[in-house]
Amino acid sequence: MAHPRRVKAPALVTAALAAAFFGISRTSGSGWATVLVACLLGGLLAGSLLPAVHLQRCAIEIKTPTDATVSLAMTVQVDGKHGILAEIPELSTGLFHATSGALTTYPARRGVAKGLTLRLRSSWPLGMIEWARVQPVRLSQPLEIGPLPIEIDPSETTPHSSAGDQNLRGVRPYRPGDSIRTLHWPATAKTGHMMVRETDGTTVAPIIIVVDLVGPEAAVEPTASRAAGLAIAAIARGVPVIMATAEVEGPRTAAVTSPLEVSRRLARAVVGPVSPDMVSPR
Amino acid sequence: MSIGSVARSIKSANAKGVPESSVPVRAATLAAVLIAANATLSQQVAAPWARVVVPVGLVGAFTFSYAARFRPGFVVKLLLALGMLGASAHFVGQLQGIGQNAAAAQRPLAELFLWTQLLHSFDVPARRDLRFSLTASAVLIGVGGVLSISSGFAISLALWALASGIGLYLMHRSELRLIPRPLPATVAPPSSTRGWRSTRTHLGTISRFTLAAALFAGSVFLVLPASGTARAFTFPVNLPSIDRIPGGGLVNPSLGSSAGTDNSTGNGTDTGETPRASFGFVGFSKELDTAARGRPDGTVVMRVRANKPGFWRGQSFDRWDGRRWQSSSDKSRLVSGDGVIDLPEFEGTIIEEASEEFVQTVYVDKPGPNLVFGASVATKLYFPDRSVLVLADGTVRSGVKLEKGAVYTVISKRPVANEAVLATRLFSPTTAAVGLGKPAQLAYTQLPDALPTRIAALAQEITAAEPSLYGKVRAIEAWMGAHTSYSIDTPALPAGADAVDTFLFDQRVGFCEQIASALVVMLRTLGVPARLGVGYASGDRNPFTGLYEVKASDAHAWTEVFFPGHGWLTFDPTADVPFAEDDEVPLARDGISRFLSTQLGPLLARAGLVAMWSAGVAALAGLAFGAVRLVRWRRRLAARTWSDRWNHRLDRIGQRCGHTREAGQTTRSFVTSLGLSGQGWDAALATLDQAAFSPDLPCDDARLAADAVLSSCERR
Repeated sequence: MAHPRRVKAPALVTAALAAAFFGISRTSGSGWATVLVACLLGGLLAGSLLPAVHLQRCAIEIKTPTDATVSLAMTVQVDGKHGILAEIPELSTGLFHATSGALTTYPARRGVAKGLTLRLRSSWPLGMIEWARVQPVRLSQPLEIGPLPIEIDPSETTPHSSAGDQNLRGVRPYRPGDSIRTLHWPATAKTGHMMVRETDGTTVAPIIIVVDLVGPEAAVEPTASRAAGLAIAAIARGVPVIMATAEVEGPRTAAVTSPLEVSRRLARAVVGPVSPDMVSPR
Repeated sequence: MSIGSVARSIKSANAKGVPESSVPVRAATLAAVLIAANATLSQQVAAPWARVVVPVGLVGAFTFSYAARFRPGFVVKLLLALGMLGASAHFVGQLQGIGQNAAAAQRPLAELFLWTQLLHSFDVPARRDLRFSLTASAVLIGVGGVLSISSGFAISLALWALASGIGLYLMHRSELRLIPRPLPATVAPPSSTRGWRSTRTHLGTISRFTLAAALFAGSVFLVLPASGTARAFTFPVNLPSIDRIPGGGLVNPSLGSSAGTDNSTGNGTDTGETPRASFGFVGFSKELDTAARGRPDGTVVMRVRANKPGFWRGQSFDRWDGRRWQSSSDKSRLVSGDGVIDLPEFEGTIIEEASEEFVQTVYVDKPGPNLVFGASVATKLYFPDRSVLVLADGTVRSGVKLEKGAVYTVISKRPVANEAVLATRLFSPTTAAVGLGKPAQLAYTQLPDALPTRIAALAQEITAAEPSLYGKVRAIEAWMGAHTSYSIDTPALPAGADAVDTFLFDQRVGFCEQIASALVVMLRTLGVPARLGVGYASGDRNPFTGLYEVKASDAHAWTEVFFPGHGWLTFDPTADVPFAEDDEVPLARDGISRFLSTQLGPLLARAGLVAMWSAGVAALAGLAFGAVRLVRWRRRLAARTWSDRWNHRLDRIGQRCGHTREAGQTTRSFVTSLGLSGQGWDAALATLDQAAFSPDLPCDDARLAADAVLSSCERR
């Protein structure tokens, strides 16, 4: 329901004029001064109450994409009405005219939004008293807002591998990004250059990212962002990634194969036990 | 405060706002100002040439202001200041010509305001300035309203209200940047703001709010108190031309060549019809023939500004010959004054201390008798001529002809006697005239020799059971109310017949002169001093102008009865009501049903009133709803967490410095971007983090310290 929020200058001036002319009508005996008072108060009443009606009757619809990232621009389609200012706190929009069109927004926080909250304001049509109301908007499809990935040093995404599981095919010169663990020391000593092993039928061990969001709230989002950065960097290097998260339905441990999948998994991640056998130390 | 800071404050207050480039906004404002200026000019404000110069000047000024909206306005302001000095000098010059009549300063003051409005219109670059113009136009239309006495002002007021509403609407659109403009807008106007669809939308919005505002205004009007009593040191007076009446006698141009005035000496006829020029009443002459009513029509003869209805008394008659009333004495006394004339007390006048002052300003609409009309007992007269003639019965005559446009103000003292007091005073024929001199006693108890005795017998019979004079008067009124009826279509009076006798015993049908005469004659048979008063009934109150519109057909006759200790009191036997003047007008709407019925027809009037009442109820419900919502919202606002409030204050500091928090920007980062740092800020931010994210709330001291950091920054 709408509530009055702010009295604006035109309303104050109109009220002051009405008071002044009321005094004049009482002391001059002028009937027209009384009629003018009625006109001013009529305009003031209309200007004060119509925004509430306008705001109450408006229904603003919003279409969002299915995926978004915290603090990265996202376009929202708005189907609204003249004279209404709106903001969507979840999307950090600031105020915008709730008229039809595309609106660039910036998601403020990670999570899955099945609906958004619109804070609407209007003093339509005379700009006298501003009314406000909150309109929850149900989205046709959930908006999954992933964390903003933190840039990660590629070396951090090199998985542990077991040499016993691999057949040595040969050696080759070191390339940036190669794990230090793949150095072939004998060949390095012999050639004087850093050489690394090349294995045949290599089984790259997947990295397992355990996303444990327990902790002070201030630390949770950086954790999610770091997890996103790690996973995306690893995937970019072709390293299999298994992500263990806690979701509303319970713990989930599954492989993620694309940045989009990473974003969605982390969007759904909540505080909770990550996996019965993979609880990180506090 | 140093001179420098004062200068800076003045400069800041006068800083040019963001130029308003919307032509529709300017056009609507100009329309409102033009309508208000014309409404004021039409009230005889300023010289005739100003009626052309002001409107043309306003259009030119607005055009100039639009063209110069981006230029620095120093030179323009300087020139306007010089112009204002000139207008003020003109005003002071006009004041010197009005003498001691301060009320005459109204029009020069209105003219000064007009010139101010015109000069201001040269420098309205920003929306703020246009809003000021709109406000000034409201004052201007109010000035016109105070000066106006005509219903025609409604058109100006309605047009001004519409133009102002549209102006406010367009200004609000401009504020929301919904009007296309040459300046770059941070938010692009939607495509729907252009084209026919847009025009239709605007018309729809304007129609809706106009209808809502009109209904709300109507409903507010229904509950507003009526315009009060004029309170001033002096009152408006005017005399359009000075045409002196030779000899100071009674003239009545509204009777043409009919009867009884000093400009003619005709007599009434037995047919009951009096030949006359147009609309006059035969009673405003030297004699009143009760057999000749005439047919005064609906011509508005004068308008009276008063806070109550009253009988606007013109004169009285004391000599009765069985058919005609005459004045036994036409001797008058010249009474003079400078602006205000103190009227002498006439014989039988008793003004009690508790008497209420009653102010009536009379605006003459049609040339009529040179009688000065006013409620009894008139004590002061604000009159455009320096002197008037006062007769022994309190009749006041003007020494000049009262043409259309003549204005004068009468201040009366209304008797305070009431039924409860009068009913306790026992009547005795020997003391009935105590307070009157012998000649007056004789004059006011005079009866014709041939008066039929059955009149006196009837009076005795009707009043025998009443011990008080008041009771006797009311008994006779009641008897006439029960046994006679009112009609202006009475049969002709037979030759030689007594008019009262015929009315009481034969026809029992008559009009006000006959009914009032019957009461006077019957009271006189009991020894009670009484006389016939003539003038106008109050007329219909126009609820919009607040004036009583007195028509020729409101001409009326009533009975004035002398009460020892109280003086002359008025009774209206035609309406069978004592003290008919005592009705209050508490609300502005009083008389609106009658007025609207006359103007629109009863059905439309009723529908309009129902709509206005409904809107009033809706408005009340809306206001109550709004108040409840506001209270709840305030409570919710108070329930916000400390960290929310702290962040909100920080955002306001940022806005003051021209920085808005970016999307997703943390408080710490925002504080850094504002250039705020130091140990206090670090501690405050730590407290904020703890309050926002930790289950353990920070202690009060820490929060107070964080608040103090913000407060010191706000002060800076």
